[in-house]
Amino acid sequence: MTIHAASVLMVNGVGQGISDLRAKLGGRAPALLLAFASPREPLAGVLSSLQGAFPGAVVVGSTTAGEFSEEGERKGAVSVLALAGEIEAQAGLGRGLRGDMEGAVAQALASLSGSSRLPHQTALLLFDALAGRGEELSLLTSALLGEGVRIVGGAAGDDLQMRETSVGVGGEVATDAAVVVLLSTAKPLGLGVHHGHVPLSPPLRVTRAEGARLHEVEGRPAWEVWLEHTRAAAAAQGIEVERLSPGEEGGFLLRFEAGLAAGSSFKIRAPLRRFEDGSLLFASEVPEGSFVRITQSSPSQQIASAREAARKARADLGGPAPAGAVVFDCICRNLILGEQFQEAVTAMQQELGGCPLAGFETYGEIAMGQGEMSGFHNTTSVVLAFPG
Amino acid sequence: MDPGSNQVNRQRLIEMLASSVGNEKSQSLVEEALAALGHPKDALIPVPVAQRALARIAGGGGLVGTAARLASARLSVPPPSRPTSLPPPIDVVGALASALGSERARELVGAACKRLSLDPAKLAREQALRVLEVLSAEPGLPGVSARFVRARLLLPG
Repeated sequence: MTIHAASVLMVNGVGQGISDLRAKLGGRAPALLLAFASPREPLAGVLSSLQGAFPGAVVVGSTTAGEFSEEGERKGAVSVLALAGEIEAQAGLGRGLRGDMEGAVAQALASLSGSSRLPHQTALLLFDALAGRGEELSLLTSALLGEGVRIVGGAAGDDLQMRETSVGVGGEVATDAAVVVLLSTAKPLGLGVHHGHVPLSPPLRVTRAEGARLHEVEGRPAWEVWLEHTRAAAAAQGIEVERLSPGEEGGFLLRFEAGLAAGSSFKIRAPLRRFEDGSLLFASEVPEGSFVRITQSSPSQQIASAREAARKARADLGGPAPAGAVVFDCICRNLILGEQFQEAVTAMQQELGGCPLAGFETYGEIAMGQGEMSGFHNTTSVVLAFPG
Repeated sequence: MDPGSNQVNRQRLIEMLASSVGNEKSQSLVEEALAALGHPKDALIPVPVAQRALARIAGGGGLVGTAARLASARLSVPPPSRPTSLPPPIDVVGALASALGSERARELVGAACKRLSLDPAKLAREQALRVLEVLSAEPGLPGVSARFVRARLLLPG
């Protein structure tokens, strides 16, 4: 037995989408359904409908900043990936990431047994990045599950409103929460990670920060420093930084993210919003005393990096052709590419041999391979391929 | 870590934290901790000293603390080769430390061993499973951690 995958992009309602999914599954009972829903489609209703239609499946999901499948990319839709065959899934929901992250992770893992008859285990995380603790979440989950379990996932979105994002299991949906899905498979899954950003500014010291809130860089309000260093590059893209409306600031920040030098490459850290005092809220902690570089990326670099992530995922399968894939892709790629975003999805699908895929535009991505010491990414494509 | 030497390269220690907190911050954290422990310039650090340095860094909490706890757990020393064919003891404290921190893991394992009249430094596989079974009943993170470590120990391979 192998894994069978089916995807749908629900644009005409969940009921029609479920019918389409049934047809694509061809009578197979899915073990897992991943549903990524626009904030315009209430997540609790989407998950409950899917659970009702496929009562034997583990159903998990999150809100998004955009949805896509091999059929295209939309706003206001629901993308779903169904996995059947030689795969087992267990899932749990943990609440209260901001106040007690360890307690939330423990709550999510409490319903997982940790053991399976299948030898390869991968954890899938969906979480609220507005809680600002993405890296800690990935490190703690890895610590609990053990070095042998790879961790992959994405942060929920809310169409760039930066107000509230949700994740859920079955009919239970929550904000300030995380979902952990433990996947067990007969063959290893394929993981590919890549970002296309390059530094724009010199190294800048973080002189005051509290958790995920960056107050000062080089002794000045972070927002002021961001505007200064991005002014020329933003102007080249038709953006006047002095004229940004509050509604445009989130999108602007996701074009010019922070790069944290780690070894010979950069981990990207996404600023999500600014406060009146000029501080910035990030999707993960940026420690005081660290150095960041403001980064940027071109459309061609973004398409190439999406292709490279998919190529790596396929190569990581070690032989089998992909049966399907789930993609966690930063919303910034969509902001940079605009109508060209579909080219990035097409590039990924080509590299994956035309298999079904589903994904969403995230506020942060997680990919932590065996033995790695960091799992949280921003502005990155994370592709998880399932072997056929 | 240099195999068999029980020492870790200072640069390796910095790299372990750098992926979470960046090169510069990691370097300053490691150098400050090693200096405080009396090893300001050494290129090769004895693993116990490295673990004390990481414990010191972990005391700061937050992301830095979590990263240091995970690094400490990954620095576990391979058991020295033994003249007998006895299997090496199971390091239950080390297995729990990445989630709970070394001190809390040692405290919990010590209490469970005392209750079971076992030596925490010489736990054979079956004894480690009994300790983990006791700890699995703990509420919150300790219980969840113990259940996962126990499941790993039970899995083949």
